[in-house]
Amino acid sequence: MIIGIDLGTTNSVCAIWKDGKAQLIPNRFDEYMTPSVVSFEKGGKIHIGQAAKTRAVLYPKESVKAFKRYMGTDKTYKIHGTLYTPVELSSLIIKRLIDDAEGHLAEKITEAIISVPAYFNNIQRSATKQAAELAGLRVDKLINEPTAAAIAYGLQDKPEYTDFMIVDLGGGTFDVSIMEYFDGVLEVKASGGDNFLGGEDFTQVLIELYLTKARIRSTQLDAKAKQKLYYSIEQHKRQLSSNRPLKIEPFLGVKAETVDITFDEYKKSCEKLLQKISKPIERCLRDSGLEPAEIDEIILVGGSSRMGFIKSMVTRMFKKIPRTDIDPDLTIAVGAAIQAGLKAKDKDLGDIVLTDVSPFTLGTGIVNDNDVYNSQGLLFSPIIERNTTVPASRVQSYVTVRNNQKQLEMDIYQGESRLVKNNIKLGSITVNVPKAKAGEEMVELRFSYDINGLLEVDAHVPSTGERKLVTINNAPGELTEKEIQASKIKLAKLKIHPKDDEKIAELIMRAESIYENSLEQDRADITHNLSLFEAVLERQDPKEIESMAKEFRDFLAEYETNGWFE
Amino acid sequence: MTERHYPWDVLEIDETDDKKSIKKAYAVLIKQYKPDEHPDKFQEVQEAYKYALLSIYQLSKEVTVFENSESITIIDIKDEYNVHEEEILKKLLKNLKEKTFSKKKDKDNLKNWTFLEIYYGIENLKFKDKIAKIVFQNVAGNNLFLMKGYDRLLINPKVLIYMNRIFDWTTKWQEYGRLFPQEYFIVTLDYIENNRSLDYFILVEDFLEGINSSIDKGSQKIINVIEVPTKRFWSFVIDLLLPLFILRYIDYVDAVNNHSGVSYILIFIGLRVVFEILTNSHSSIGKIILRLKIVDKDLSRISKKQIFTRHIVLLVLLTPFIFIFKVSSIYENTLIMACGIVFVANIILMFTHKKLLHDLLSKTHIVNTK
Repeated sequence: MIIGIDLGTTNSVCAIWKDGKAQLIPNRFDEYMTPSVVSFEKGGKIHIGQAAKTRAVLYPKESVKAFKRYMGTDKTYKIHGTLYTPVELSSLIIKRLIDDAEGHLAEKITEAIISVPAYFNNIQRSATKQAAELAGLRVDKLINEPTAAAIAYGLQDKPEYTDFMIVDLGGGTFDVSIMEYFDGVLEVKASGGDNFLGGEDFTQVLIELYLTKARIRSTQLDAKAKQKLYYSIEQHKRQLSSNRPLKIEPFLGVKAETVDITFDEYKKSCEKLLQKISKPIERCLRDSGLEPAEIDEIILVGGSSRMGFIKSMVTRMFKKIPRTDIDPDLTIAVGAAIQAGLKAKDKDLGDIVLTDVSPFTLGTGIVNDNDVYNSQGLLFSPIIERNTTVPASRVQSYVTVRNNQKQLEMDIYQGESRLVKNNIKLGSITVNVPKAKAGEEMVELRFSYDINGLLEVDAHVPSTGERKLVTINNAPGELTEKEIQASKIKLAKLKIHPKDDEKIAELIMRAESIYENSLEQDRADITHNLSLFEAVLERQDPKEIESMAKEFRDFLAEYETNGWFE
Repeated sequence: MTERHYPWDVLEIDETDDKKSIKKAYAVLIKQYKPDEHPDKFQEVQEAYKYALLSIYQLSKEVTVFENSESITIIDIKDEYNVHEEEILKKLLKNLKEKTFSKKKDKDNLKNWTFLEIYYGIENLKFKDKIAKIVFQNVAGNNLFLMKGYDRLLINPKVLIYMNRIFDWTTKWQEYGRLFPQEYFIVTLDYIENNRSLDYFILVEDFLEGINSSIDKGSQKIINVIEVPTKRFWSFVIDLLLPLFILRYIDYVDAVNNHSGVSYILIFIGLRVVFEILTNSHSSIGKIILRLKIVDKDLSRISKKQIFTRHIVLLVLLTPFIFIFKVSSIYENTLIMACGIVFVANIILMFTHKKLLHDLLSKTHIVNTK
């Protein structure tokens, strides 16, 4: 069975193509969204998903979230003396999704299509594949999130020759894509975005706004208080609307005043972020050569696009109301599942061909003649420009710069900066050339970039016929076979809670965290109910436990809707 | 197949200027040659398709191709923009010129460049692109001129980074490279690219300022109202009287003898230093009794550096007093005069700024604790 996975920064979702349509798969908590959070107990027990998210409020130092932002980097998280990489943490999330899906479908899952931001570079893409491999999955194809979103919005029903734009504001990433659908072809014309911009930044703005108004310095808060602040403000952010200003009573245990925050204040604070958001949109339009008026449809994806002023900003820019009819949190998983169906050559889908673009520029470094102070380093010479349809193969010629130069060493870079030092070095290729005057010997450098993000660099010296080929797939930061084995052993040591155990553990943790943030009279109530629940647990009757768990969950839910942490 | 038939022979259709039939032909072909199955053939078809579209695009729109000429007058205001936009552009250029040639202090202050943010409000994308280009051309041209003549920049990197955040030049260099000479990039983009970390700091600064400016002005006033001159005066009196009591207890005889003045001043200074450094609120005894507190400009605790500045200034101001009580000479008279001048200056400051010299120099405020 092949499934589609949306491996998100804050939440992950999986879906499957079955009976001719995409179906979302609920997790063990009967929810479609599994929070991308992992929490470690002392002694090797771990919590993943909802349980980890709840636990993170109580034990922020033992919990990790938003690690997707660091995929493909050297960053590690040290918890209880063990180091974990973002790849390993992602693999735990994937493993959890698979386990839950297998439980739900009663079928073995061997293969998946995982979505990644269009903006992800080669290294980040292979890191994602590694994570899947660690979880025991085969992943041949990654799908760009906007492409998945476009597919989810049912291309078959669209009139031919539709140009549309996908704006995806997730928890931690921002993606924009412009596509055209015609005659069964889905052509991506341009894609771009910002890897460090997302809904969390909007939460951060509200946090700063609150702290400034409440006269609290962030140095006054410990890790636990900060976590509490984050979750509470996150809740408030959802409630904030133009007709209902926020009133936040002191809740952090430090001296503070009651703070009122109006929608206008918040909107004004977010102005800088909104300006940042407009940049990739304009860049994409420019790259695709289209005018805003030529875009027929705009689709908003990602949980953070629910914020009113995102919608109004897009409406103002394009003078069209964007579409949000599929739940923006689930759109990408639906698209990934449809793609999985396409991959399995399921005939239900018809014959759609996808053409994608390279979201970044690939090239090499050349000597900068104008750099008199020699402070800038090499200049970037693009070979495959960003938003070129893939697979693409392009060739450029480079000449020697010194007399009797014996070798040409060419680095391979990815990025958009004019100076190579600000781009990402993917590798290098060295060829020998016969001795000659500067500028007389030449190398033809061919870059071939395939649809799976694999880059082949071929250097050819016409005068000697020498040829050298470098394949960029062993990018820096990527794991070797040996390291994969080591990771597998390390992760195997972790004890994952049995399914039912975890549900109950999550309930108890939730009760504890609500207790911590409640007032005296509520506390007694919670303690009473918790002890009732624990008494039932001791009798070990699964049926009784199940009904009691439901009751207890409803009881807790009441506290949450009454304003958790308020 | 000859060159003449490209791209139509690859697309397997007759020459046409109908976009839809080109797309249809392309769709039929790439379904046969899918990108994952026949990458080479797919690329050939794809390139032919792009080529065909470009040829009909050029026919219909008459694309203006900019020449890479030495005289940089490529960009001029065309009548394709409406009057409103023309006005925006004129005003922007006038402002830009004014600020570019203003005093260094004004020029380096980012606040004076916020007029550029009008760019965000413009809806016409083409017009936006044009503005970004014009500003780039102006800034780069001026910087290059000064760099050639005086080896320095007219507009410094910090401002360049700020401008780049608005106009996004660093992602357009490939296009600009075809319009402007290489030297233009050395005096602009390379400084921006070399200072990426600075970009982050300006962003944070800017970001926090955005939050502060969105808050109602009420909180800003607090600092002005809470300067408390009368209370300070009384706390000063307490501080002045205290050493007298201490002196009485230590040695009554000494109190009436000649040296008592010196000891008095020493005890006065000593008490202040000890209390202001050791206490939580950094206040002297008089201030503690009257519940006054020394704070930073954002009402937080003052830093070690600020404490240090306060006391250095205080010591310099008070030392001459020691000599008042000793024998006077011409030299010492000068000191006393200097001391008197500072005293008078302090009184004037008290009326104009409601604070004293050492407060001003260490940028601290004295406020009520409640």
